[in-house]
Amino acid sequence: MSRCYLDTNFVYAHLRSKRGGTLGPVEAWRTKVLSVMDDAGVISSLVVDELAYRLILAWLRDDGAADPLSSYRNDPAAVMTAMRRRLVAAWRAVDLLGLELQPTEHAVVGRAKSLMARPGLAPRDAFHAAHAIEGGCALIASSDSDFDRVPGLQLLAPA
Amino acid sequence: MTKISWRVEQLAAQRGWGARQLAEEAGLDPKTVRNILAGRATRVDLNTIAQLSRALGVGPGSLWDVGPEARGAWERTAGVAGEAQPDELEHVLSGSWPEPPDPALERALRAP
Repeated sequence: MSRCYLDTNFVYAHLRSKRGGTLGPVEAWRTKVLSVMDDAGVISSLVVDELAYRLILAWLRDDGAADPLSSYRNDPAAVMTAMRRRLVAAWRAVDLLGLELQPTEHAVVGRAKSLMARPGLAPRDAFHAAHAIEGGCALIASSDSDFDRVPGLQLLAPA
Repeated sequence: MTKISWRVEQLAAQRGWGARQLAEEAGLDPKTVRNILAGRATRVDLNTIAQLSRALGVGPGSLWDVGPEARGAWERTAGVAGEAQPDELEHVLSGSWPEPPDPALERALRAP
């Protein structure tokens, strides 16, 4: 059992797929990750930020927006007001999971700079990986294959 | 009530260190380190925490595990943000979100 950093795409897939439904690959991924990680997964403020953004775009699409990104860009304040109730429910669910929030300490920023230099991760990926490493995680649950290039991190990707 | 427990033993083991080496690396009394590794230490001063954090190369918050109240939380929260549309999770699982910018870039690109 090891500590595991949960990338946004993992948490998102979890929140958008009902257990026992027809979404087999998500269920398999969730089962794999939960079977090897310690009780509490680790996230960062980046995950919270990206999760909100992605959920809002998904909800706009659920509501019939043909181009969710344009809808959001046209009036972000109105969209945030309209999504308030659903966001509150999502945060309640995330809180229930008891995830550990890895703070963005000096060590995280320094590590991210190093990862941008070598192995040359994109800035956002570098910060995710840095939060994982400085949070003592040996595992990262993500569908982003770039994390395979990070020494010391084992990628738990969907099958 | 949330359960908090030390995870120093796991962090030390990842580096191949036992109590003695961790004590040397952190500059701490071996008995103190043994008590922490055994999970018996409940009152540890800030200097000790700082020394352990430095020696193990992790932030202070990583010296503990904070367990969720119930593993069943994962079951209860699956799908609470709605049911994904048919193609939606294919993008997520393949590592390619359909909308191009990430939130930080979205903000940076917004007109002033």
